[in-house]
Amino acid sequence: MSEKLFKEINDAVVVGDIDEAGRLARQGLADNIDPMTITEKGLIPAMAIVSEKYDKKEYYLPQMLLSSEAFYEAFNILKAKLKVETTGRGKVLIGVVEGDVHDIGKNLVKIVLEANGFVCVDMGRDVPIEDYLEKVAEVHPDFLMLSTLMTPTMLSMKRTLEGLVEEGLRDKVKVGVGGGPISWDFCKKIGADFYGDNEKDALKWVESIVGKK
Amino acid sequence: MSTMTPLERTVAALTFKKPDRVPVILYFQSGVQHDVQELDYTWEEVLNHPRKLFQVVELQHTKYGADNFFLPVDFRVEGEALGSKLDYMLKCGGGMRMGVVSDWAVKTPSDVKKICIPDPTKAGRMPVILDVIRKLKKKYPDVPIAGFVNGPPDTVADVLEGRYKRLYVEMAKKSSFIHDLLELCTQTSIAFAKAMIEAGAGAIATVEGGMVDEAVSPDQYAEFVVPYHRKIRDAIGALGVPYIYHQCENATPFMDLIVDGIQPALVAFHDSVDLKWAKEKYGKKIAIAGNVSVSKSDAVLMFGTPEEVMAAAKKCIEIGMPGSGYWLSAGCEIHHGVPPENIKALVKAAALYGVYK
Repeated sequence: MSEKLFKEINDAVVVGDIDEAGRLARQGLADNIDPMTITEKGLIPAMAIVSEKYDKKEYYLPQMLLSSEAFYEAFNILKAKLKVETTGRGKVLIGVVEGDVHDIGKNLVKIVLEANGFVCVDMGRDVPIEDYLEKVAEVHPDFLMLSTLMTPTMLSMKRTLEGLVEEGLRDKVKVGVGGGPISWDFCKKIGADFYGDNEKDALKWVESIVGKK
Repeated sequence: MSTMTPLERTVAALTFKKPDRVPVILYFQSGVQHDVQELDYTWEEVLNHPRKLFQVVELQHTKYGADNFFLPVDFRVEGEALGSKLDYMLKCGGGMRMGVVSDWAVKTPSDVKKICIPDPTKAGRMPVILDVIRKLKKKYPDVPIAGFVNGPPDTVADVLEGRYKRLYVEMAKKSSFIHDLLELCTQTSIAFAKAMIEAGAGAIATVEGGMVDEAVSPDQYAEFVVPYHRKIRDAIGALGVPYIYHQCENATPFMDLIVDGIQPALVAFHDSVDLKWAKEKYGKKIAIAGNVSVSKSDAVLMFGTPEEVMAAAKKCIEIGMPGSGYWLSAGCEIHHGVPPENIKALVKAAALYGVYK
């Protein structure tokens, strides 16, 4: 019975059927299936399939984002019933740097991290440097993930790193950077710890730090 | 030694005739910020006042030496004319604040039917642009003016609440209202383009900024991008005006669709494209421009010295200039991270290395 539901919710996420994903999540709860088990056996494998399809260019951003919406429709229903776990496998502060409003890449990283048990504090987009610094001091994340799509705002990324040093926070958090114009060279130049080209790279990196489950 | 006016030079290169030298055609956008600051204006002032905008745009040719004028210098004109609201809050260095959409005209599919194609002589900042084009044409009749229209999908992202993410999701859902909205944005760009041509623009330039190779498939590009740009191209082509097309990021997977489907007069290439490949494959069929790096983390126009810019420009010129059909250009817009001396270095490189014998 449960296996059938896992398969159905998996299919709903892969094809991006938002209503069906939500309905199945509610049905799973009504059938007294553990929400964590539904997440682990239904939702997480679904996003792995979606990610694979994206890599193979069977899916592009429109299909991937639609699947993400279906994932969140179900995940948010299940999350409300999950035993509260404040840090998960690790706490990630994530956002788009000041001056940039492009947040699709950041959102894709967030969904993959959340789907794999990391707790993400989403700062949103065009986030002032000071807000990052305050939040790092306040919530003590394990990771700070910064994104920008635009070249001119790479400077904001550099300044955020400088701010962390100035405030004595730099050694308290691992910093990953990504986005269209970013490269390993730039990452090293500004003193970040990691550069990733995509959400899978980001997941591999945080898992390599916290250790796999 | 210049023997042609910028207009003659630009047209000669575009039509595969021999110009005196390679023209330097630039997409000035936030790169004008250096001058906005020197003139002690804010972005809001300069984008909303014809006299102030004229002062800034004029410098593209008189100060930097580009062979063209390019305006609007921001991307939000169509979105604003269609009813979205801007706030000047996006920091872009030096304490300056650019406009970003803060309230979208379309929140639900039914909103699309409530919006009419704006009248360019009245809507939003369009009259400001038209006024500046008229003044430029009068004062500089020998310098071509490129009037800029947003790609229809980019305008959709400026009028649809949820921006590109919502557009992508609605595309995947195959929501029919997205095509209605693309059509509305296309007709808006056509109306704006025609008005700019009437005011004195000699070319219409466009950018496809969100529908890039890592985001959409060639099939999606064929459905959501090509037919709409083609309509703009046909509408201005009927007036004898060329359509100049820039695809952000790597245009390679879409090039056949662009060249055969949209049929612009020229494609301006992004940093990501191998200019040699583009010249060899398409350079006889269509004019090309490009592509001194401006938008990657190693972008020479942003981080290099003027000497390094000249060396990079020389490489582009050597590829592009044989057989004509080539404009020297940056790999994307001239943005506020590009130092003024590096813009001038492009022009110097064309004069030094781009002279036709």
